[in-house]
Amino acid sequence: MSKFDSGILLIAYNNGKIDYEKLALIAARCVKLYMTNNHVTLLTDQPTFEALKKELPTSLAAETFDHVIIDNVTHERNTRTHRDSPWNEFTTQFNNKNKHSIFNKSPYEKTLMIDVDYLIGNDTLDAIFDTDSEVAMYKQAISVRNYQPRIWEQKLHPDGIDMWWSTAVYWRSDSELAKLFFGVWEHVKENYNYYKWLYKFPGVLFRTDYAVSIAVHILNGHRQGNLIHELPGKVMLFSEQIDDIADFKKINDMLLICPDPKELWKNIASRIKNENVHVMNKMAILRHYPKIKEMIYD
Amino acid sequence: MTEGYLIVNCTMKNLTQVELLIKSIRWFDKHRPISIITHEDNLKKYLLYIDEEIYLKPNKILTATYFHSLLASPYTKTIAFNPDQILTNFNIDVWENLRGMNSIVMPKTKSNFNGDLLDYSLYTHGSIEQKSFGEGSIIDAIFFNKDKGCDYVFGMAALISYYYNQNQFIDFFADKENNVMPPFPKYLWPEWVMSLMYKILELKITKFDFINLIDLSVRENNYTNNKWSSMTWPEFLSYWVNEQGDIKIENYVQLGLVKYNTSAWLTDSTLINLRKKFI
Repeated sequence: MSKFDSGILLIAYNNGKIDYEKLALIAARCVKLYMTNNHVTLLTDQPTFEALKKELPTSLAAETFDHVIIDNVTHERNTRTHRDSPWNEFTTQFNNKNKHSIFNKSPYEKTLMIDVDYLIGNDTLDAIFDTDSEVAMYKQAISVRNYQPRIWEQKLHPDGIDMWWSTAVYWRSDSELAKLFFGVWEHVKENYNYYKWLYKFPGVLFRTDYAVSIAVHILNGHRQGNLIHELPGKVMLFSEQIDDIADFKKINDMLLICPDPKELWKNIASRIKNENVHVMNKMAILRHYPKIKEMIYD
Repeated sequence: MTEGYLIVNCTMKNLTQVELLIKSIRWFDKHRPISIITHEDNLKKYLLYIDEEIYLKPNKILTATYFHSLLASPYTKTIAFNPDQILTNFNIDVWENLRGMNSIVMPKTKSNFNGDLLDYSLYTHGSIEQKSFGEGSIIDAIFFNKDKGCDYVFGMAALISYYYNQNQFIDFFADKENNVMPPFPKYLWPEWVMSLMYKILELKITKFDFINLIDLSVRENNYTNNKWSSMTWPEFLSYWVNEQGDIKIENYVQLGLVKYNTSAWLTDSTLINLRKKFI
């Protein structure tokens, strides 16, 4: 099959607790509404696809996804603790260990893969398709409270390497560098415990952010370098898992309730309008799903 | 018209460090001679690749001794190093640029092991220089050209260092202290003197990164990461030298002139791999 020129790749694998098909549907519509390079492919498995079919009447499917790839992978065990506001915590299987394989699965010459909880609210990321970048991601991030990320989301270790976010990854399929990048990513995944020891980062969860950060460091020759580019906008906006969404006026105009991470009972309201935002509290999005669905197909 | 390298302040105590620095220079530059300034007799017999050993009787004023050491260089154009360093990357073509520059060239910046630029304010001495002169000086590697009059600058620096007395200087400059004279510290150190020289003789001195300087020394004023202010780097950073002789710190490969400051990391295993590479 010949490849499409450029487009957006979304990945959704349901895990029994979070409805990724709904998140994928919202993310795809956000792309359609606000980006020009809005050819959308969904990479999913059969059960998630079946759930999606229930959500999406055929008449709306064409307005949402242009292409669907069914990839029934067996997921390795990877348990993640999520927070839904400061007061609720739950664990789920986190299906991210085959994320590196998107290099071979993408149907595009130029792909921008975004996580389904990264809600597109403007066309900033369109600019990446007009560049010579071979691989690009975000390295810097700022919270909707205007806070820096926690130290372990800035660096893998206080004296260690910079953390890159795998929330949005752009690459060109004809690029040798991109091929190498995804190959090293896979290598890091397969030797994750060794790299955890080497780079001194904590936790048992496999984090793709850490895997790509190590891959970037290795590809730069174990130094700081600019082989891997930063995505347009340079700073990724994110809302933390403890944040909740109070309301959506439009899909790219939301009001968030953001507790102070040190004094969780103290909140500020933050209105995010016309921005791309990584909403880490997926349950907060899903609570507004019926309203969002009306808005995005209006 | 000769060009060469000079290592100052060589003693029996830092013989291993001097040996490593000499061998690492020789690794990158096979042709230019290397001389050492010693304060003890006959170190040459312990060292390979030495062109000249210049004995300099140590002065009780160490800062003056430093400038006397530079003046004693046998070469017309010299790059001088302090001994507690090792060269892991150096482009010798930079000599071509240096020939066309001022009589003295100092590096402009220095970086951390991970490539982050370091500010003078992280260091006690650096912060004093910064307050007094707006910026500090880096002399871990310094180029000077006798054809362009560097002797006058170093001669003046040596005299100031030798005759320096805080009270006399303050008294002498008291009527001129209209925000242009720096506050005078109790004692002088070479970087402070070079900062003063740079301020008053800017036309003779250039700042240019002819070498990538990696500084691992203690940063007394590092308040964000107090390990740097209270410990030496081998106490809290992971480091190793692999069989190819590459120095890695927290898996960052060190490429440039590495100022390691403490010899604590020069264990038998690291020395074996470093010697394997550089011999």
